[in-house]
Parts: sequence; C-alpha cells; structure tokens
Amino acid sequence: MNDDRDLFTGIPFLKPLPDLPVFLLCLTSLAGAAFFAMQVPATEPAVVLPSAALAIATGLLGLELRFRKRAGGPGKEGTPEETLDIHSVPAHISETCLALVERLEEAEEGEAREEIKKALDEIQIGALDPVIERRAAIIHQFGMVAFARFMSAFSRGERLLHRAWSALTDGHEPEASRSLRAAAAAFAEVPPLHEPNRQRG
Amino acid sequence: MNGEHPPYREFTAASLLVSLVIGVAMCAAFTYSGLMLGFTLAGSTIGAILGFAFLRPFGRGRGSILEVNQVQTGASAVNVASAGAVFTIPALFLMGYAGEFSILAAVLAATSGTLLGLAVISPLRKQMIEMERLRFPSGLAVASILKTPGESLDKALLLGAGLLISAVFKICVDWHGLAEGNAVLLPERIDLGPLLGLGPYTSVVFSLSLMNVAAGMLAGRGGLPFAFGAVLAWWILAPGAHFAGWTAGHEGAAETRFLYSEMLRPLGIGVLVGGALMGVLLTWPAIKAAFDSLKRAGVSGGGRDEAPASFIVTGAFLSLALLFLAGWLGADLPLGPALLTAVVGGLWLALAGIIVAQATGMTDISPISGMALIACTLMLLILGDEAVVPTIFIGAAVCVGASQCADMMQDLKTGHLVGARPWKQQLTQLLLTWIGPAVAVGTIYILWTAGEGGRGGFGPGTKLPAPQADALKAVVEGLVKGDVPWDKYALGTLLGGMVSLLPFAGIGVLVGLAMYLPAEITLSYGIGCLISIALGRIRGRAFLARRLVPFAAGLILGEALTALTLSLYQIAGRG
Repeated sequence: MNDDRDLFTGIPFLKPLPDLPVFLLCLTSLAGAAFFAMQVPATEPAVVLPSAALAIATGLLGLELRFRKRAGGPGKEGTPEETLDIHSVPAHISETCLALVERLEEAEEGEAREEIKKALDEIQIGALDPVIERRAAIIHQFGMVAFARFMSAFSRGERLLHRAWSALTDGHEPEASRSLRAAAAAFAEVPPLHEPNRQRG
Repeated sequence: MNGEHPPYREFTAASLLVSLVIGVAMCAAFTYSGLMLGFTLAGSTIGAILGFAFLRPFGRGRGSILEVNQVQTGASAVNVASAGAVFTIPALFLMGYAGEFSILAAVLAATSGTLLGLAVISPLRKQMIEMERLRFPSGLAVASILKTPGESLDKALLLGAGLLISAVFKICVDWHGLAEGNAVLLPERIDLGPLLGLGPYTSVVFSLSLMNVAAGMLAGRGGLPFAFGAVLAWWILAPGAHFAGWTAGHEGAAETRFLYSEMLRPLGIGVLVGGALMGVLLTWPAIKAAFDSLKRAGVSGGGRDEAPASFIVTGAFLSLALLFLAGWLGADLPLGPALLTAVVGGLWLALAGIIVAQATGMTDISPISGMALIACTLMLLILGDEAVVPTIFIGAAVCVGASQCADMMQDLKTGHLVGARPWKQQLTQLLLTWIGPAVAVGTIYILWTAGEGGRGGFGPGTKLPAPQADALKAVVEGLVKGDVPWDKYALGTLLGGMVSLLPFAGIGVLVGLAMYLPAEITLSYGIGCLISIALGRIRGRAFLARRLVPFAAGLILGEALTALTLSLYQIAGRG
C-alpha cells in the first residue's frame, strides 16, 4: 500500500478545535510528561503513571496534528502565490543540461567554463533549492514513497551537476560534459508525482 | 572543446597514500591531545587543506576537487578512532586493569566498531542526505574549502571574512587559559540569569562560540526544535523542579549541576533513543525505497554510485565476529556471554550510530558520551558487575563506531556537494578505517608504558590527565554500585517516541539532544537559527545561499582551525 496517509485517522472530539489550541495542548502534555519524569527517582506509580499517560497524550495529539496537516494539503509552502510546478522542474533542468553540454562542446577549451558554472549556480538556486525546500510539502501531498522515488533520481541529478561544476573548476571539460549528460538523463528519469488515492479518507 | 585530457582524478593511489599519511599523523596526534586536553578534533577540515597542499603542486590534474575529497574522507576515516578510543580504553588503565586485558583485543573491539559503523551507515546515505536533507554544518564547511578554487571572489571573501572573525574571536575567548597571567579578553559564556534576577535553576547562558552560532545559521528554521528543547528544559522544567522542592539540599551552582546531571541529562538520553527509534519507524517507507535503490546498485555516468549490498552484509558479519573475538579471547568471557555481548553490543552500536549521525547532521553536535554510557550500562546488566573489561571494550566499539557513522555521513554530505561518487568514498573508508584503531590504541599503550616503571604514563596528576577517561571511570564505578537512572531512560524513551509523532522533522532527536546538553550550547545555536530566519525574510532565499552559507562556513572553519592551533600551542607549552 503506497498511501501512508491512511495510517492516521485523527481524534474525533478534537475536530472542532483549530490547530493552534491542539498544538498548545500537545506542548503542555509534553512538558507535563517530562516534568513528572524529572523526579529523582521517578519509580513510584504516582510518578510513572501520570508521566506515561501524558507522554502518550503527546503522541496522540502529535498524530492528530500530523493527520490535519496531511488532510489539509501541503500548507503554506504550497500556496498559489508560491506555487512551483514541481512536475515540470526535472524535465526543464534536463533540457537545460543538454543545452549546456552543447554550449560546452561548441566552445573553445576554457572559453565557456565560467559561463556554464554560473548557469549551474542559477539552476541550484532557481530550480533545485525551491524543490528541496518543499520537501515536507511534497511528502504531505504525495506520500513518503512517491517522494522517496522522486527525490532519489532528483538528488542523483543534483549530485552530477555538482560534479560538472567541480570538473569545470579543475579544467576537465570532458568530465564536465559527461556529468552534464548523465545529469540530464537522471532528471529525465525522475518519476512523476501522483496524488495518492484519497477515497478511503 | 578539443584538448587532450587524462582521466578525471578521483579515487587514486595518490589519494589513498596521502590519506593514510595524514590520517595516521592526525590520529596519533589527536589521541595524545585528547589525553592531555580532554577533547579531540575532527580531521576532515585539515585533511582537505593538506590534501590540496600535498597534491595540487604536482600538476597534471592532480589535486582535483574530487581527489582531495577522497583524501579528506580517508584521512578522517583513520583519525575518527582517536575520539572513541581516547574516551574509553584509557579508563581500563586508570581502573587498574592494565595487566588483565590484551591490547590486541582492545584493537579488535575498536576495529569492530569502526567496521560496523561503516556497514550500518552506508545504506542510510540516501535517507539522511538525499531524503531528510540533513545539513551537516561541518560537512558543508569542508565542501566550501574544496570548492574554493572555483568560487567567485565575493564568496571566497565571505568565507575568508568568516574564518578571520571566528579565529580572532576564538583567540580572545581562549586567551585567558593560554598562559598564566593572561587577562580575560572575552568570557567563554555570558550568563544573563543574575542580570535578570533569576536563580541558578533557570539557565539563560549563551556560549561565546561562533561555530555554534554558525551551525544554527546553517540549520535555519529546521533547527528551532533544538532551541525549543532548551527552553523547555531550562526555562520550564528546571524552574518547575526547583519550585516543587525536588532540588532541596542543593544550592547555587550545585543545584544547576544536580538539575543537569541527575534530571535533564539522563532524561535527554532516553528522549534521544526514543526519538531515533520512532524516527526510523516513521521514515521506514523512504528507508525501504532507499534500500531498493541500493539493490538496483544505481550507476550514473559510467560507474557504480552506491555500495553493493554484499559489502554491507560482509562488513556487518566481519565486525560482529571481531567483537565476539574481543570478548571471548581478549576478555576471557565464556562462549555464550561473548556471543550475547557481540549481538547486543552490535545492535546498540547500530542504533547509537544512527542517533549520533542524525544529531550531528541536524546540529553538528555529537552525543557520543551518552551512547557510550548506555552501552556500558547494558553490558554490566548482562554480564554482571565484575565484567568491567568487556564492558569498556563494548563502550570503545560503540564510541568508535558511532563516531565513524557521524564522520562518514558528514564526508558523504561533503561528497554530495562536490559531486563525488558515494561508492568511491565508501571504498576509501573501508580500505583505511581499520588502521585508525590500531594507531589510537597503540598510542595509548605506548604513552601508558612511558610512565615510571613502565606504567602510569597518563592519568590525574600527570601531564596527560586523560579527563574524559577519568570521567568514564567514575561513571563505570557508579554503574557497578547500581547508580543507574533506569526510570529516566525508560520514561525518556517513551516520551521521545511520542514527541516524534509531531509533524516536525527530527523533533524527538532535537528535543532529546537539547535536554542532554548544557543550555549554553543550545541557546547559542538558537540565536544562529533566528539570525538565519530573519535574514531569509529580509533578504530572501538567494541571499542565504549566496552570502550566509559561505560566511557561516568560514565561521565554523575559523574556530576549528584556531582550536587546533591553540591545542598544539598548549601541548608545546606543557611538553
């Protein structure tokens, strides 16, 4: 079963409460559990039981918050004004990499190094970092397994871009060219992200 | 693009040889400095700088960024044993067991730790670096060194400015301790408690370590739960315990010590363990996906990317066999207990390795002594109070192994940032890491026998006081007397597991680590997080990547390199 969201069903009687009070309740139970456990020694049932009960309450409230976050979608990170079309990023980077290979191979030795390194820096800041920063949002929206498959290929491509940068710095253009081609292939292989089945929720 | 090029240099005979030379020198030197000063230093930064110095001048493509990355990886793989060994093995000498154990067995135990650490952590690279995106601030700083030859001038200047500021700051902070009669230029910490009229039960102390602040800067928002843990521990729980009357009989600084050592620290160890266990459970789908990709043995650009599964399984079995031999032949344990010791010790080492790697990845701080403490507690519980030698052996294996996990993951992070093949780095580690324990334990033995009558070469009252081992000796003696806070460990583990269910990445480990550490470290780190968040809001994300990261990396490097220089200065002064 790929949809790990189905593990969480929420606590019905907390449904009327907005998120903040639930979060504060969670922190209070966490502090309470830790407070009881602070006693030296904390072996008496009158100490252990409240501490354990509050710890379990913390866990349940944590699950409730987790459920709410998932049910509510990706949250602030994915709001329309900040929307990044994550689905199109890998293909776009792949195309850019192939264009950079072409530029590198057309140019005279050393001529295009700085230009391509600058382009790689732009890819990092403009395309790779925004996707990486939405890590939590991607997990919430598409599930852990889909994220892992996506990020595995994506990170391989990212590492190969770093390799191309290092090779260019060392003046080894054939390795930079190979790495850029391999990065293009890696980004082309990034599997699409599919919304998991929400029907059972 | 026409020129003729030799193959791009990465994993080479030269990189292995230079790693070996630098690694052995650092391991012996840091073992010595650990016995004298009570702390050791990470080797990656020095490995990177010396790697360029050794290889780059020879030209013809030598000393490429990736070749130096291999040098730094290999050198720190050898050196990593110094931290684990110097904390544990000398305790056996100090407790009077010098003639009752085999040095070879101590080497075997430490070697099993380093190999098992390697086997455990290798398959988690994808999970920790690619999925969780742990920051590993020192790994990032080392990557900044490696990338220096190709960086733009403004980034290089920021790195240099950070390095210089941090170095000057560190010298000012340490000036007082460098020689008798030196004035206090800057204190080690600032305590705002008395200014605010607060008692010793509320710690509002900030360590004046720019490295610490810089680690927080690099973590940004993700590091906030760590600062929150300190606030919970020192501004809520500790005053609560005071006003409940649980610290009665302890006044002033003694109350702070009591709150820390008897309450918060053991509870923090439990929270760390529970947080790590639940973290593994919650991210299991991603870990499984990462393992699946290992089975496919991903290749890119004409070579293997990941360690093959056979490498991991063989490494794990080999190291467990060594651990068994260390207990059976080296500590005279019967067959059954020796097997049990190897299995339980190995399992704990695996978990401790994950905890230490995660904590280092999130905060740059390693809770290694807490992990060794649990290892010793478990062993004394299984083997009985008389079994001090095998207990320390397992403690050494856990210390060395968990340090190996953190060091390796940090080097893999550096490798990721410069585009190295992880498998090449893992191979370098495998080929070199087993040498470290022999160098570190051998150095300890030689220094011990250098004393009068062939013994007593280090310990309290000598010029090598071995403070860490002396502390472990006190702890083990306490454990033998039955002084084990099981209640705190158990309730902390439950609490850590439950806290980890909150929808914040790594919160269990971060809160546990914050309780485990003195407030001054955690609060300074929190300042760094707040600086990063504020700058991100004011100047935007690109500013953080282009300006803050190289500057913070410089701050980390400046303090690390200055600490090394000052250590050498102190050793020379005492020698």
